[in-house]
Amino acid sequence: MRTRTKAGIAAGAATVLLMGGFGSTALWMDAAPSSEVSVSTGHLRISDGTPGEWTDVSVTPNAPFDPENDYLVPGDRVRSTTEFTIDAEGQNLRAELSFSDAAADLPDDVTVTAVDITLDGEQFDPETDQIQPGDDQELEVTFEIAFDIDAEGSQNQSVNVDSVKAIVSQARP
Amino acid sequence: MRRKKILVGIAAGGMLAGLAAVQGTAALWQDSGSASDTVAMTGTVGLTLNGVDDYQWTTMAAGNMKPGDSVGPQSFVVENDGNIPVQYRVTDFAPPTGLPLTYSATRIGGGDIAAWRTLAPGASETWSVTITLPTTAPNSAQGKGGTPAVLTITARQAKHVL
Repeated sequence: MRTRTKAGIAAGAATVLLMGGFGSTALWMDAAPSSEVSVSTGHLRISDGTPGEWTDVSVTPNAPFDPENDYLVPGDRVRSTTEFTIDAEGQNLRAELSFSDAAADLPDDVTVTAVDITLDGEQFDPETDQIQPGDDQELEVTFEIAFDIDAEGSQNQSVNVDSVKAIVSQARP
Repeated sequence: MRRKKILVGIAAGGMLAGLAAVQGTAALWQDSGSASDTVAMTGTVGLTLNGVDDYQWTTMAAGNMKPGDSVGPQSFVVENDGNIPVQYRVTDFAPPTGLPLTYSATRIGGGDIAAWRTLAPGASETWSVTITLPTTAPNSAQGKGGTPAVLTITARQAKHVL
């Protein structure tokens, strides 16, 4: 019994010594943020397109074109307006619009081109205009599938409009 | 040992930073969106005669025809087995060499098979054809023949025809 008490005292003393050690190394310290401003990087995004109805503009009067049931023949030109949403955030962000070259993925003598472009309702010329900062900008692109009237082949082929991409690229300052 | 590991780690870190720097100088922000999920199909022009591309009558042979003789009428069905409207007509009739045969084709409801006729996908028209050796056939036509007379019918797309 007596021996156990001593051991208990010895252990207590050691603990006190350790705590004393902590206290001897620390000095007063405090930290404060350098500024309350938090800065985020911006973004540049374009959604996948939501296509509208297709119209055959190669006949007079123009007629509806149903890609699921109608077939393209040489001489056809069919159009649809696709909606994209562009989010461009960044004080000095400017972006250019372009379209991928889908020729390799399309049948011979078939092209898909953007024939009319508006951004938030204003006419947009990718050659000269740039996308300005702003979220939820509505880009409307009218795509035309054209099948060369002089085509002799390309029967029974699929025309995958999905192979055309609208690309937004940050413009160099 | 531990020191080595740290050195390697720094070296790797340095390389990664270098790669990132290279990418950073080449690329600015870019994103792309697919134009549309539309998949359209190009059409197919198709035409069959009695269900096949090249039909040969075996019941319409004639031997020892003399001027004024005819064979037929024999019916045949022209069908659009493609998926777009087509126009068709007889574009050639080639009798055996030296034999001035003529053909005539009629159908119930009338029509001229030598002029373009429009046929919707899946639709068909039935014609009766008669082959004649005219009374004007010259003496040189004697003993000729032995090969088929070929009637060629051509189909083309009906849309955008000028």
